[in-house]
Amino acid sequence: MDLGLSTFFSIETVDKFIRIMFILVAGVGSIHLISYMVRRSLYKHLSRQSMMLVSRTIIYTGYIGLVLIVIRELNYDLTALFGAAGVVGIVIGVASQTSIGNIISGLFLVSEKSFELGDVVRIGDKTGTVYSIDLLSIKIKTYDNLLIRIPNQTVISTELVNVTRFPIRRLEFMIGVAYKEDLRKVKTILENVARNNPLCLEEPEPVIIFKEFGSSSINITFGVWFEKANYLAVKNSVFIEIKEAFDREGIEIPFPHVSVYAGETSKPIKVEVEK
Amino acid sequence: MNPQNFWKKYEFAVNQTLLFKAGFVEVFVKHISNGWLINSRVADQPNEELQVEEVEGFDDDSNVFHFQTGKSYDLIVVPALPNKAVVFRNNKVIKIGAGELANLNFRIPLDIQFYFQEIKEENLLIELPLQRLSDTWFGEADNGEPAFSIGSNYDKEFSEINAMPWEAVAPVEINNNTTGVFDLQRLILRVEDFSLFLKNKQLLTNHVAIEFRGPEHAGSVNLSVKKEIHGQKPLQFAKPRNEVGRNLLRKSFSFIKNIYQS
Repeated sequence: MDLGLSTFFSIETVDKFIRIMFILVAGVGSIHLISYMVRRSLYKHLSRQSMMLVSRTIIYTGYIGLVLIVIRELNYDLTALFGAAGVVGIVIGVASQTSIGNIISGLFLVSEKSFELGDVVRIGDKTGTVYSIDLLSIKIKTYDNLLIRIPNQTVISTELVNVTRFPIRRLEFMIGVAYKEDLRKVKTILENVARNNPLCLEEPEPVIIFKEFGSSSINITFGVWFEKANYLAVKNSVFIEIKEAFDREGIEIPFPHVSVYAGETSKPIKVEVEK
Repeated sequence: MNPQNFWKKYEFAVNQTLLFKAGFVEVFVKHISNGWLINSRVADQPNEELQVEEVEGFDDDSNVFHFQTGKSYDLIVVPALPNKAVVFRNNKVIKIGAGELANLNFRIPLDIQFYFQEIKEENLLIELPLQRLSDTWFGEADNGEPAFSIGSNYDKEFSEINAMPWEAVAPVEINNNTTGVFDLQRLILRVEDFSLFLKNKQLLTNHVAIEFRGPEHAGSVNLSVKKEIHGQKPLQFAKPRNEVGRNLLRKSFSFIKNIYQS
């Protein structure tokens, strides 16, 4: 039975096959080599996400070029393909509006440089470390080890907080003390807590703000500055030290409570204790 | 104890344990087969003197560092200046008149370093601060630099300074080369660039000469060894952490630029 294999495996076909294979192997190798060399040469000049973008642009452009070369090697008429591409382009364009929007948003994000790989960011109610910045989305790794993909369009239209952009941060504690307490003494105690904790920066100085007369306590904001890498150590140690200092000095941290008051002329409420 | 009897090479016998006491730190070092066990604790009160003693027991708790270093019986104990710059924060008034010189001497608590066999980076077993200095920040919140605070203590006269044996003295000279009064509020000393020298029983850093040329002009800093301060034949006890030279020249002006001005 003649399957026409002899026609298919002619010298010309085999030659073409080998040529295409060579083009593919050399092409893929060259694309990655160029990408690697560009990354190496720009290593000191570009941020990590810009490098990633440049690298991916080189790779995607290279692959599109490689596909076109292979198509031409197969003797397909590229003119017809480009003609069809116009129509297909419109269809794809309409169908991929969101993706294109994400790509353009991604370009703006990279040019804005509001965050880099490894920064801790808060986008909406999501907080995590920037894990990768891609053409369509950024991916953040949360503290409970989840990977969240956020489309670039969402990132650009949402308020983004870069928690670790600057080398030092201020951590604020909301503290309530009882109305009976001497506020000057409380202030001194808090100042000492900051002074005695070596991880709290001496400068900028800690901030103590008497915020409000609350329903059950006088509320105070106590802010200490620290180097960003020490976040957890500072948060835990200062928290413990405030509690220990207040206990030591007899400063009451009140629970919310309600005083029942029946009016000036009313008689005291009778309370009977059962034995 | 004479500093040279403390900061030196120790030859250990098998299973021997030595206790090093300096500043707020007490360090137990035990030699084991092909390695070392090191345990340290922070004392409530500083040890006034540098002390070494042989002890019998070794508290092998969870804080112990275990180093497998191969056959070596030699332990070298050396002092080092802190691994970050230190900041002097003036809480008095120091005003230096136009064209005047001011000499200030600062006490800087040292670190203790333990090397096995010989002093080289890969042989460092552990480094501990003899007094935990408070962290601070020098400069603006978005572009300053981390540092340790040495507080606001200084002595005008070198002879008056009463440093502990675990502190180094940094003699600093500030020359106000402007036509106005210079109000010194903060001063950063990049101790990573300083060497340590021994004079009598006191460790000293280089002499630091700072020239202030005005807030808008780059000043200069010069590290040197002076006969009147370091003695005729100064004994270098520790090299700077950073390579001094081009590195220092490149950022020399920032010593002045970073001095806060009201």
